[in-house]
Amino acid sequence: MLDQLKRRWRALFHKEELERELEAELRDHLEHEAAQNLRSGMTPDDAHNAALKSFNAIERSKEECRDARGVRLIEEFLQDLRYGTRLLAKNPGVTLIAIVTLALGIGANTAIFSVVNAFLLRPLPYGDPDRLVMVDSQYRGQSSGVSFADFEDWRRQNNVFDDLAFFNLRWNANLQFRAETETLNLTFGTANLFSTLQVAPSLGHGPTSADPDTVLLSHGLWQRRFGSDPAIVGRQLRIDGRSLTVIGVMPPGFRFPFQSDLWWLTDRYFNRQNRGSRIDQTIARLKPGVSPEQAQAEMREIAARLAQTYPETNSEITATVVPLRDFWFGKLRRSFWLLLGACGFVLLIACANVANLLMTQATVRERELALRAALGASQGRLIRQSLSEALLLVSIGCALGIVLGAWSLRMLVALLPEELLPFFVKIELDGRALMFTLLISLVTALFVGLIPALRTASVDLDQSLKEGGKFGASPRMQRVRGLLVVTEIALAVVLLAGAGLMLRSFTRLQNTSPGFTAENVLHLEINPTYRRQEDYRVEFMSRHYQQLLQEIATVPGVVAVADNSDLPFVGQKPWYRGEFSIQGQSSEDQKQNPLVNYQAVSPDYFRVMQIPLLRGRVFTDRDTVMPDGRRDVAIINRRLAERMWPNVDPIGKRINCGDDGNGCAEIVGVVGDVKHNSLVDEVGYDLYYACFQSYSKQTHFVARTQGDPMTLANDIQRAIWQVAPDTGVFNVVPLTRLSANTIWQSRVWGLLFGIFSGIALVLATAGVYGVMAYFVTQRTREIGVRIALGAQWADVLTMILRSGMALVTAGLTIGLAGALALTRLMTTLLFEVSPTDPITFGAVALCVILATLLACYIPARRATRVDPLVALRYE
Amino acid sequence: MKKEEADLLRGTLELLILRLLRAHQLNGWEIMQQLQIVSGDALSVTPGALYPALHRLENRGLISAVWGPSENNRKAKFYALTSAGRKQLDRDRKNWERFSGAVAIVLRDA
Repeated sequence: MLDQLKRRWRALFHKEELERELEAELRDHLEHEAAQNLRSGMTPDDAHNAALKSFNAIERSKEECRDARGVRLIEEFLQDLRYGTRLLAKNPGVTLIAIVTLALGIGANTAIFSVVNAFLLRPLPYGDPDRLVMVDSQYRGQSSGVSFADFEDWRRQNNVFDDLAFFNLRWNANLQFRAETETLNLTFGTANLFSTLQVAPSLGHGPTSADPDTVLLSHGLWQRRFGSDPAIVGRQLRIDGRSLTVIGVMPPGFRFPFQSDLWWLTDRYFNRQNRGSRIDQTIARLKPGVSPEQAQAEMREIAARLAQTYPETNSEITATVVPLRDFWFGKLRRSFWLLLGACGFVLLIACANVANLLMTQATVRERELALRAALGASQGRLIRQSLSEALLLVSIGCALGIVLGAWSLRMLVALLPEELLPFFVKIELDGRALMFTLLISLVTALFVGLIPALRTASVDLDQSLKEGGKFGASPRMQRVRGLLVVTEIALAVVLLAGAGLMLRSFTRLQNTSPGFTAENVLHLEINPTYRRQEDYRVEFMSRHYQQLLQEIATVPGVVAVADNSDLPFVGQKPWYRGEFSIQGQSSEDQKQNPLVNYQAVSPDYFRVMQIPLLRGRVFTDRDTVMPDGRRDVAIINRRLAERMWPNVDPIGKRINCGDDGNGCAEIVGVVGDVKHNSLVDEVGYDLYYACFQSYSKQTHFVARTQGDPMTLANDIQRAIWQVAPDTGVFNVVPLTRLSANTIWQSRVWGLLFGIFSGIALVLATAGVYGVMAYFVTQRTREIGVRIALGAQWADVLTMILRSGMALVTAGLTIGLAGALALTRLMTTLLFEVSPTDPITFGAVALCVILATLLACYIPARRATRVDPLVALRYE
Repeated sequence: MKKEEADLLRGTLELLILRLLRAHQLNGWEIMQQLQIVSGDALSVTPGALYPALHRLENRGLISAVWGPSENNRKAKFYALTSAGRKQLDRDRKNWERFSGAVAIVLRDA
């Protein structure tokens, strides 16, 4: 094998040496022969002649000897490449356009494939990840989170899972280390969480039942905070005022579920009593061979059994089983494939354009090719030559495309909100993406090379050689090129329609009011450190928050500041949603009540957010802690008021709210509607308490500022630390950032579709221009004759425009039909825009017509300036 | 017809070359002479057939070339059987015997 390679190598790169050897060998033979001839008694002349005769035969065998080296194909290919390089260098303009076009197409595909790869293809970083599923409770078709009591029953009763683990989605904890307070993401979970994921600590060990007060660190935190100290295991850390023992460090890169740095894994502290408190999550590992559907069926039965056993808390609760990847990206999946499809379209257009370009080149060279064919070059050889040329172009395009892809990937990553993505989404050019790029490049080369090649292969020799320069206008050739341009336009129209819809949807979203004014508001998350048990009492907390708010209000530039325990647009926090009822409502009627978004707010909240008060009053400082810990006032939004008390004034009505038994409150006000989850979602039902009557360990502050809120971030944090230096302050961002985060998908998809369709339009327009310019050149003589015979410039213009616009009309029609069929796939991505929105489609058509009209007009103008005398002398 | 003859000859020629090289290193000229002598002038090969066959065998790794002095003391290319060539020779020889035996039986008995 190795010898074989060595020989091939020699054959390719030490050709002269081999030739010399062959020469020597054959000469040696001839000498022998001549000597023998002499010996056998021939005269020297005869011997010489006989040897010469043999020599001729031997000369012929040389070629066969060379063939025996087995590298003929490669040699010819190298020859073609050299030839191709010369040709490409001769037309640097055309070559550059072709390469840039290909690089754009390939680069876009590389970048988007890398993203798709990161989200949908790369295996999740857990052991045997395909067997991991999320198990969730559903209440009236909406996922609600899981309660620990339900979880324990699931774990006991099922036969489909190897293991189930329980964890919370979002919690923060203050790490006190060397007199500094740092707030970190902490995940509570059952002790079996990591064994369910099949990920083991790289240092230390997992949780044991012996000591519940232990914590595991992320590799990043261990490096950053503790200098990768291997003696960290066994050390005590102060976390939220408690002392926890470090038992292990997780492997590099591991976070779960989002960007957690600390894991506190023990079954001991979860709330077993309150079965109705559904705020956490369950992950499970399917038994080998069990499908998610089978697991789903069994979980449905278990949920039904629980509903019978605990009608109070479980009567409308079902359970769902969702594969892990779908849980993270189920909603994104379609948009990713659409995006990759759009990229594919761009590449197709680029291919068509370059094929067209090469065909123009081929036409110019048709005579040369015909000549070569006549001199005995086989068709296969000519096709191979065209392919090697394409391969050369595409290779350069591919290299450039990878650079372009890598670069645009970095821009793309900057667009994605990192804090909302799971830790394992790492968008980078990996081997798989490079393989994909090489593969599409190969297909591209075939496509770009074969179309002109087939054309070349079918050249009619006689015709081409006879007719001199005119053969290029052969109707068949024009048809193929026309077809390519029609395809380009059609594809571009589909992309433009998609982009147009995205754009309209995005502007709609941007102009949608969330019900509050996010501009000039700074958002901070607050996590005080409570040291003593009595710190957790409502009185203490409310006094603490009140002090903090008062201090912040004194910061110059702060207009007003307020507190909301469960602020709109904060993701991953499901526990704000709950049931409520009107006092005296029958339990049958109660089942009809909607779920409400519970929020504990301070009096100035509505002022800071500029949520209008419609009726009654907002909270005041007098709405403070009741002696028995009750809440006595509540504010509702307009939608809840209209739903529960149509045509009746809700002020003064009494409601039960919350499940802690402290929730009998009187409605004192009605405020405007607010979108709670995201700009995309509908307005929900809001129920506000006075925060000074409520318990919330962690909370959000919002401060309305004069000017850019971020300029006050430091001052406000200093004010907080003046009151309580051990308060965790984090997630300090403008409120606009939170609201932008809720529509990041729209923004990113819109931008990408916009870029792709822009490229598509430019390429398609260039394609039309190319074909028309060529058309005019080919017809210069005919145009000259027409002008000589009295045609006006308007006639000429019309003639050219008509043939150009025929292509455009065909492409536009096909494209619009295709768009009508394809944009339906986008329905779920659009916000208040129909996938067949007539305005968008009209605008797209107009845009394409204008662009292509321009592309036709320039060559048409040139045609009208044809000088008949020059034209007739032409050729 | 001529093409088939050539193909048949080519396969046999290669077998014969391998056989001739089993005992000695030979150069092209010597192979040609030996073939003629050993076969009692029944078989002869032209240089035009011989050299391409040698190069093919060399390229397949069945024989290897060494440069050494020929009898007139000039540098000449000698061929030697490789171990792969030795195995190939055994195989081809068995095949040939089977084949020629079969042909002989048919010619005699049919």
